[in-house]
Amino acid sequence: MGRNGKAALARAAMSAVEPLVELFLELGVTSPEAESLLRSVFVHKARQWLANSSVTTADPSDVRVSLVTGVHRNFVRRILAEPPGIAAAREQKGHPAGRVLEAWHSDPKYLDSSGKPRDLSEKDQEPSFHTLVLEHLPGASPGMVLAELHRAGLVQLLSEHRLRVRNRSFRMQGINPGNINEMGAQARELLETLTHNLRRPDAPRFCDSTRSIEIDAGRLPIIRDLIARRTGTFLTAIEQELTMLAGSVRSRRAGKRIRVGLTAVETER
Amino acid sequence: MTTRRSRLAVTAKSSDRIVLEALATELLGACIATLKTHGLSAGKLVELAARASAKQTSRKSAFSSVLAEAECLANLLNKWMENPKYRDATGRPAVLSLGKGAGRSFTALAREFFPAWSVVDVLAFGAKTRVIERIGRDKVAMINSTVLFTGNAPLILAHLVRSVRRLLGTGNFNRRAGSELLEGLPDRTSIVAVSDEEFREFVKFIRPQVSDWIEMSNRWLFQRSQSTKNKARNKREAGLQIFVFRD
Repeated sequence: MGRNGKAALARAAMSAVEPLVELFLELGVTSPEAESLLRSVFVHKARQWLANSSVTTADPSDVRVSLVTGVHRNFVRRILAEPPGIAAAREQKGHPAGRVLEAWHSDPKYLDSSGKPRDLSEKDQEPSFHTLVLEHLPGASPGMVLAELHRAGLVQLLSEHRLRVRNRSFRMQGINPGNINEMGAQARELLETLTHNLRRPDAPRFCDSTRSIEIDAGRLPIIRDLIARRTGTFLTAIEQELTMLAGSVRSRRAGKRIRVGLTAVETER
Repeated sequence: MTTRRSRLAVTAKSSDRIVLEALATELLGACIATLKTHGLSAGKLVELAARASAKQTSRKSAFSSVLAEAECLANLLNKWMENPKYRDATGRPAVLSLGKGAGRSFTALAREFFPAWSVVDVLAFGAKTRVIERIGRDKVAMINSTVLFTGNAPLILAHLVRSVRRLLGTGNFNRRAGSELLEGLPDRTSIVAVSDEEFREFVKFIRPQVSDWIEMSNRWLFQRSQSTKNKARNKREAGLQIFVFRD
């Protein structure tokens, strides 16, 4: 294909990809994550394409896939070892605004006396969100970061230009594929525990609830806030305790490993 | 046989006495060492100790007056936190106006808990103890629900005296309580040798939980004390105090 042909193809591909990019932006998928995803799909598709067009039944080699995709054969091997997806290394980098959220939860300047993130003034009063962004995401515009965090549902705008953080990590709120996937995983975990307890009453997993308490609907925000703060503190503590226990056991003897977690859910009827 | 028994009893009593005196010396030594760091000389402390042992110390003592202002502020914060009228739509303590009108305002709280003070002085005291901050010219927000004494030597000492008195009170109660497990007041300790870095991590780990326990305890006691059926009863202060230590 000539230079003009490639340019025309690039324009056509751009038109096709633009809506997808918009969707990625809406879902909080970063450019490195999207590039990693595209590369992974590209390599997997190339192997399938080569296999379909080959006269032999043998799978195309990593070197051949590397030749047609332009991806180094070591990466080809790594990519083909797993289903198409975003590479873990890219995914871990996450959204840049995640650094602001992390600092808001850990920098003593932005914590209250109980060690929890405090409400911040947007910029007039120190410690402010403006300073937080300048310190932890230099080069970014605090206004843009705020707009992005608010769009993702991670920062709540209060009266008097004050801001409250709602999550420690960058993750889009609302109905989106990631959250639907998470919902499915949580529902599965709950059902697995309930089913296990029905089948194995002799060795149950923890599953307990408080008595439902009737309250004035007007007090719901207070109750929700109380449950969120109290349970959040507890879950953080139990996670740390489990992590320490897991670490000390691992060093002593290796054997079958099981993932253990605890989920707390508020109910309202 | 009788002689042997009484001899054993005498020996046990004298051994108890030795232990008691050693512990009393240790307790006094710990108090003296701390008071010396506040600038009191050994001679002055001997004089004060003699004065203290000569008279019965009253429940309402020096620490009460030093901490009175801090307690008024704590009560103000309690109302701001616990009264639904003072909460915002998200359930947290609302940003309050400094207006003079009736209804929900910081001015109303300041007048209720500091009747002899000007609102400006209450604001300055709240800012100094890092519980509130001004929002613009005419609003104020709660930034901490606990009155902090850190860096204020007289308040810290008064707080220490009160803590020691409470701790001794709990010890006395437990000394007199029966041997049943649930008859004494809870008094638990966790202690392990750790490095400086581990200790810092521990403080970070435990701080939110300590705050939650205090908040829970405070809410329980506050709500119960407000109930009408308890209002007329004879009341004495009760609570929970938690602190992290390092020997």
